[in-house]
Amino acid sequence: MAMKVSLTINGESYAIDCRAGETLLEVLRRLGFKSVKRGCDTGNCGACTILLDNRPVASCIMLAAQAEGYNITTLEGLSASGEISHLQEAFINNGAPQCGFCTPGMLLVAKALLDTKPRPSRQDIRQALAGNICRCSGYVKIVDAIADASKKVEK
Amino acid sequence: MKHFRQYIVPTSQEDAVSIRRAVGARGLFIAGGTTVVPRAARTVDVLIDVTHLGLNGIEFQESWVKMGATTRLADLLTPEIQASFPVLYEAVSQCATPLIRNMATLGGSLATVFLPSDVAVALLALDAQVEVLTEAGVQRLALGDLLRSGWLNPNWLLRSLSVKKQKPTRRSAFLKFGRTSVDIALVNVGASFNLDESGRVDLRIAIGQTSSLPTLEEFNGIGESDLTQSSIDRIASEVSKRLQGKSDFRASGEYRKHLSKVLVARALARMAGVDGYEG
Repeated sequence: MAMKVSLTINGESYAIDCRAGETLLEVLRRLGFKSVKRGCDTGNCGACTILLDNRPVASCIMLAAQAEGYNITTLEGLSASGEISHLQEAFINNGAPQCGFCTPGMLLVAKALLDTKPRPSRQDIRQALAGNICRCSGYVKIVDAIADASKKVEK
Repeated sequence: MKHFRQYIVPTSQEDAVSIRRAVGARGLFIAGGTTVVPRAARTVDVLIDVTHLGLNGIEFQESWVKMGATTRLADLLTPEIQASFPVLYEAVSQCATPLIRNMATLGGSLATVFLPSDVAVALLALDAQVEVLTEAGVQRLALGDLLRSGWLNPNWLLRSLSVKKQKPTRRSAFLKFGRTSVDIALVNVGASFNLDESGRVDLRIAIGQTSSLPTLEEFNGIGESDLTQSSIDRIASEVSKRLQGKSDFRASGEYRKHLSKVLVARALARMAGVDGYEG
């Protein structure tokens, strides 16, 4: 059954028509937020990570209707001004993206972590990333990049 | 695209219960949705959102701690919960991934489709009480009694879970075994240890994954000094022998019974302060 849902994505309001069974992942991609990736579609891999009121969640196991009333942030929201954030820069400088498919999710988890804990330990970083799988399997550079970003205060 | 056809946001708890009654087995309450969205049966096509019904938050009352059914699991990871109920804190922090814990709710961990829940085992060990709204009104039931009567009725709206505040002499522990921390446990064990003034210990041991519902075993009035390595081994063996030992693609029943024995012994040793126990 078609329904109307109001979503706030990266600070902007959207009134959309969707179906009750449409996931938030599907709606976000339909609206053009292509940083949100479909990986496992079961909530296990973290490629579809978005922030819901600044907390990372898996958008593939959430319906669009559930997201009404929350502030949704996708990776596009991190560079809304046209410039990439220092966190994204740290990923580039450390060679962390590798194939890049898991990177949007990793970046959003990292952003949520640094927002709540600006000086995380490597253990904190690993724990925060427990729900995000990198199939290139190179976690060291990802952890390095986040640790690196935590040393630089955003100007 | 999932198969659900209708998503309803009721305006009151009573509304939620009457909608579910009207649609019957086609309807399911949804909170975090981390189980419902990927796993609900094809026959379920109406979802009833219960996250806007004032069932959120943790309340420290005089002798109870009351946790709202739609409290997110991540919100249970507080220093207060860690200090008061280690078994619950450990179970929640080892349950699924941070992404899931930010969405999944306490009530959802008990209510629906899927019950190999780490959280259910912890709450059974703590002798938690559940408050539900039924057609007949609000009822408060012990989780242990629900276990004996076949668990929650899908028509009931889960409102809250309450756990009695702990005396400093009460200890608890949670242990699970899985291939990785993110995996569904092959076996999970929640245990509590309640020492009274006369030096007698009551044990509650909940074991999950060895049958369709968790198993609860109680041992009352054990002398504290009698809890030695050999008596712990004896209790663990006794508990393990009584288990059904469910076999599935993850593990054989025999393996699960062995794991249960080891985990129960480790949990008891930890609570009784028997050092260096490896099981």
